[in-house]
Amino acid sequence: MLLAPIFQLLLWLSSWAWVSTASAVYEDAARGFFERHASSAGGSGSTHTNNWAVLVCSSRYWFNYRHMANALGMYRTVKRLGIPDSNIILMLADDASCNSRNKFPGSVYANPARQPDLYGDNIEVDYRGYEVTVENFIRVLTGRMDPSVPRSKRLLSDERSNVFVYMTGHGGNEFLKFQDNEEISAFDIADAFEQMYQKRRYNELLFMIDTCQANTMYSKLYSPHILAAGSSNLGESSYSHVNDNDIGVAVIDAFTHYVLEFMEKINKTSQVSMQELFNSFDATKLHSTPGVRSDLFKRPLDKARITDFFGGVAQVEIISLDSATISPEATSPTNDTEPLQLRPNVMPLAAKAQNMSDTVTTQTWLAQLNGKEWKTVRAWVSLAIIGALASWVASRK
Amino acid sequence: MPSTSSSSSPSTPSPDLPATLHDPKSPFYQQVSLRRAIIASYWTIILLAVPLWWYTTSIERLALPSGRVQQLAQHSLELPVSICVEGPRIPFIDKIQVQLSKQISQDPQRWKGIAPRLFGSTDCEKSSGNKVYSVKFTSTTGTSIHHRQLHFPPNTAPSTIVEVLSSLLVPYSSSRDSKHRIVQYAPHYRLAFSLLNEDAAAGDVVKDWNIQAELRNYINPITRRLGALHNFTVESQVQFHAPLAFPPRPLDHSWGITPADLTVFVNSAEWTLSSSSSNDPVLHFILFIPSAERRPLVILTDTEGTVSPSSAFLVPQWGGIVIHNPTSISSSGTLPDHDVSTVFAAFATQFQSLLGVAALPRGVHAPEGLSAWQLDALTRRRTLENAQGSQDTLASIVKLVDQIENMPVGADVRDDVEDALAALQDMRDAAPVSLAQAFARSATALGLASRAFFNPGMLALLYFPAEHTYAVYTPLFASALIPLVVAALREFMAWKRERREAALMKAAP
Amino acid sequence: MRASRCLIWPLSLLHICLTVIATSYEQFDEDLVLTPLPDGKVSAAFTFTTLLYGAAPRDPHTLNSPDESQHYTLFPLALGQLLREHAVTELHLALNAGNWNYARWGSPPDPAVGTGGELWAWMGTEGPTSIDARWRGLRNSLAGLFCASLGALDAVRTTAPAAAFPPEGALPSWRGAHDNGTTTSGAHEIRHASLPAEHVCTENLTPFLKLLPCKAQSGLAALLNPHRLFGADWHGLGVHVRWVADAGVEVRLSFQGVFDPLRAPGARGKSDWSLHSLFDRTVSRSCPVATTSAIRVALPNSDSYSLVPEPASAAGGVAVYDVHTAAKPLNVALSYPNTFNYPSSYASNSTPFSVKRTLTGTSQAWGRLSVRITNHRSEEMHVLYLETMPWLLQFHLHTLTARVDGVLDDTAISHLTYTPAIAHARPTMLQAVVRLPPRATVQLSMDVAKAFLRYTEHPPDAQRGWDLPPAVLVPVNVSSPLGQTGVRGAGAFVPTGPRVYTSTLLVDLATPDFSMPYNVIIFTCTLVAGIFGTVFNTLTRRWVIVRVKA
Repeated sequence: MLLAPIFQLLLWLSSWAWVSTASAVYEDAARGFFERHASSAGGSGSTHTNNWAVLVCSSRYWFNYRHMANALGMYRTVKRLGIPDSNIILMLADDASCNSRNKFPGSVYANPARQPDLYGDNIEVDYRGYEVTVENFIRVLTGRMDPSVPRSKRLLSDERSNVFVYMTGHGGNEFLKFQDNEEISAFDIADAFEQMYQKRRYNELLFMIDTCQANTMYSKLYSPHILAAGSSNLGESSYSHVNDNDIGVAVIDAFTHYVLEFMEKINKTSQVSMQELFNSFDATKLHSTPGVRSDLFKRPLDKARITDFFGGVAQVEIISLDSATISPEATSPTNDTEPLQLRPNVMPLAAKAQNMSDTVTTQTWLAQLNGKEWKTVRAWVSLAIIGALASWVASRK
Repeated sequence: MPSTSSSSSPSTPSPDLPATLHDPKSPFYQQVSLRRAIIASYWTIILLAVPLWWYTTSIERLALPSGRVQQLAQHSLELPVSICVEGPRIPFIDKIQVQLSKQISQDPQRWKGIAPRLFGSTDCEKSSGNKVYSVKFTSTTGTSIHHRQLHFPPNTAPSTIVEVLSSLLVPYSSSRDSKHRIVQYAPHYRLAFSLLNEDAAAGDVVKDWNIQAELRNYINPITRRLGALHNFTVESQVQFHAPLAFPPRPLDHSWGITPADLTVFVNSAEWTLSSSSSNDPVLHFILFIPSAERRPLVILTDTEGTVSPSSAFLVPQWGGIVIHNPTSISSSGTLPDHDVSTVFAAFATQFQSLLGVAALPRGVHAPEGLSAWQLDALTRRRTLENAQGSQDTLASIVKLVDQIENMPVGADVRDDVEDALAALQDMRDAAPVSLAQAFARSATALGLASRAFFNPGMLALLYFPAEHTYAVYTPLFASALIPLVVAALREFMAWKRERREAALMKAAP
Repeated sequence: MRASRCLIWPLSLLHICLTVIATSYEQFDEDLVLTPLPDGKVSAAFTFTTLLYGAAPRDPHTLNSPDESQHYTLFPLALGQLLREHAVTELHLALNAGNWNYARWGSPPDPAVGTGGELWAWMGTEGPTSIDARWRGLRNSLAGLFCASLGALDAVRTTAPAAAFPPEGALPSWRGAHDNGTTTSGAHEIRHASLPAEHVCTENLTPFLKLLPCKAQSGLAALLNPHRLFGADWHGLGVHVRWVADAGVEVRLSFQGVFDPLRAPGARGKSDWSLHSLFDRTVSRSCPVATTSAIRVALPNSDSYSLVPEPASAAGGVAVYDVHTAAKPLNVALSYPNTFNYPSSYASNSTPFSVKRTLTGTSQAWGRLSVRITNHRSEEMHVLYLETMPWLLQFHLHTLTARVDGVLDDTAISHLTYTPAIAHARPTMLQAVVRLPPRATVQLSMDVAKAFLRYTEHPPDAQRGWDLPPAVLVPVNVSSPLGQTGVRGAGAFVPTGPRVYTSTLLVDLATPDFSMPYNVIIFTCTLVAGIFGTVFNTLTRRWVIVRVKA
């Protein structure tokens, strides 16, 4: 029987190929790692000139009032700190404030004391109702839109924009549910951010997500200059914070509540850093473990200011009215070049480290495989298994 | 399943079988050939179905000319600049050349993409058809420029000549400020002029302004001169309530805006600076009339309260603002023409600096309006930016398509990429001949590359995990394929055995 | 964009020459009409009118060349840009919430009271871009401007009911030769679409207020408090643009609401109201650029009431306040001495006819659409009945029957125009003239089939059902069926009264179990896998004789 040795040879060949590709995979991963960091070494500290925010509430129905309150709370915060409406894309999947179930028409509150009114008198919702879909969200991020889409629905950021992406809704392990009938996966978000990076649509990006098992959503990101924060780990749920008995449902989620509470102390010119925001996360109060991913973010967190992402401070130049010559006197009160610090890997966060689970990429070569190499490995393994199976069947009498 | 290896029984039934029982081999459906045909037909259908499945589940991904795109990155564009120095002798020209080379080597970033060449007066005619700059030493009134001529007084030192030449040819420093202020290139701009009354209900409201005349005097000359670079649409509006987001600091007899307040002056939440219905970028020019209760409003240069002489400021890449405290308003609410003129002079300056028109160096006299030197410098800068931008975009497209396997690439994307490459090639060919042509091609290439990148059809399919696909389809395909494979193998081996036995029987007597 | 650079200089010169020199005259008027209604509610109708003298709508033939620059002082620039970008002659947009109760409240000040969003526009048909392309651009631009989902009003919901929605202004003729010698006829067509499920909330009001010269800072617009407006029993905002032939382009922004003072916390059974109690605000400053700014109060019929402050004039049962001259803060208050008594019956001649539309049937495959029109007058009248139904509900036109007071009468329906639906592509449009005998009730009924949607066409909240747009009835004069100039389509009748809208309907279509695709795949695969082996073995089984030793 010639076939048995043939299949055993095949098995041996496949395992050899697997090992060799695996080692090649390790080299590729290592090379990619250094390439990524080498290319960003030429960049300097925060050099953004404008800010954009994309705030998404992906849940529908009255009992998800708290998700809309989350997104609106973030909207009010970034608006207060200076990002103009033209630079904010707000997506609300349902109408909570003018809902016929709402006892307080035209208002959305995030606490039982009903202060402040998050809806207010001046609001622009760019995508509402059925328009909040996964496709529209990805189109907003990547910029691939039909030419007839109006300007207020486009993310017109450039390479000097800091973008803040906030998502809230119901989610799970590496997915987020949109309006109860479709999902977006962590891979899609990672690909969308990569497309943004390739077209230089952001300088730095803050991705904040408040759903169940939120930390899994940023686990697949691979583009540089992204800082991510999530509300709960794999296997944990994110909890709501407080109910309002007159509205009848929970009005805010815990993670967003504490973030907004922290933000109340921040004004347009404050110098508070992102590190302090992350230090303020308290897993015991949240009943879930919030996480931060900063290995893709090149600046140290204590040098990155909150207003870099949440605020929209412009720089101005006073010019003289003498039309013959222009003598620009640059008056830049903030945002000087930061001293460059090369940190190839993430440093463990100081204090309260035990409260946070930092998703540091481990050094094992297995974890450094990215999608393509993993697929090759998988293909060889399955071939080996099929070869083994077929040879077993054929060798039986 | 018991092994069905048959004893070598012929087609005749055994003698101890009842006559009514047929030999299993005799019915038509027990023929070996039929069985083999059945197995072969299963396999034929599977093999025919594989290409159909492949075709119906594949994404259209046409091949992009990635080789040519990568080749592009190796060649950078060089714009030649021919300078004809008239009058002095060759050794003097050599000194100028040496100084120029020194300048270029000291600041290569500033001179990137520009290749200046000096010609003596005898060689002037040999220079290419491109517009030639000439340097003359016949001036009696100091340094001045006129069209593309630069007049120096005689006996000017080479270093001065080179300095003036550099600041005329490459006026853009590589400083961050200038890069941040100048808007990105777009073929079409909207200029939105707004007159904002902070609070019309407080009285003394400005209802109208004679904008058309001022546009003709100040803005239209600039738009005309820049017509080769951009198209402009002009629009204007008057707003009657434009509250400030912060209270100005009260000084004695005036109110002041601190530098920190200046950064938040534009109150986009309350001001209706309309985003246009088209997607062209907008440059805003705002004339702000403070409320009658808070006039005059001045800008402070520091927190101590020093009043700035200027009441105009620029928001980089966005537009310009002039604060005007009217002393007299006509009864119909129209702002006096003189005031509007002053304001528009400021607007014109802001407009020029936003678009990237560089200031002339100090000490150089020029006639009114944009000189050809400034226009050419801007055109060169835009051409180089556009060329770089197109190359980067095309490289990004290729890289993304490789990286994200689920991204479809349609025929329109491929055509746009091909056309962009062709335009870039044309640009290189046109560069030594005509700057205007090179610029036009670079703008076309940038537009096409952007359109290809932002093609709405290139939305990657959502992540569909392979694990799920395998998990769902394995019970079907595995349990179907294994009997097929095994049956085919068995028939094949049976066929081989039969052939061997037939050969043996033939050999044996 | 392959703009040829050599054309830039002459084009920019042309652009300068085309700069409009005339028409720096614009006028802004604002108006608030407060009407107490028979059932104790108060109807408030704000109207803000801006007139741009001397302007005319853009000729669609000029869409390829750059437009003249627009310079406005009072006219909203955002709206002006939009109108010229898409060469729109007349535009109407209404965003309403609630059901207008014609029996109790009479005719609304602005007839466009269909629930949800309704958009229609008259545009020239000729030109380089087709009217449908411009309609699409218009919808998307308006969606961006008003934060409404108007982008969803695509071809699946668009119809062209020219008879029921005649142009309210004039249509320019643009006759004469054009650039290359072609003559234009100035033909116009209407495009109409409605989205009955659209919500109206503060994000629609914010851009609406930004279109006003005085925004919400001074004048009557300061009363528009979203927290009170969106708690009203009925509210709607409207944007109407038309061309008045000898004047110019008029933009009329309107907000109407029906408020219930009896619901207020301190009412105690009295239907007193004031500006403060209705809107939680008063008029503290007048708009300096408004030519006229007036509050009109329709005086109630009852004898005893008190209206403070003293109006500037009171004639014909309407008290008028001039906001410019009145004492500020102006808080108009009407109070009654006695508690409110609900009338036992409402005057049925508040409108000439009343209509009720229902969808009956318990099956998810078919139903019956029934419209009852009651003529309150004592003379015969004709109404034009317009039904624009999405393709989900397919009419069986042969079952259309009319009964007058219960008696089958086929002569009640005439001049029937029917555009059948194309599934997934086009809605149905049914137009008929119904003859209403004096003081009679005409009942039209028709069988309808409910469509079975594709899996991907269901909205995320599929269990709710689909909203169907309201039917429109317009009283017409059949004796002189004159077609209007510039309007396409035969059978255009002259309307003799305002439009009446029915309520929207909710139709329940069969929804699948949305988890089924995954289940079906698994189930089918398992079944096939189980059966495959058996079938294959049966086909290739080889029978042999096995000797069993006894």
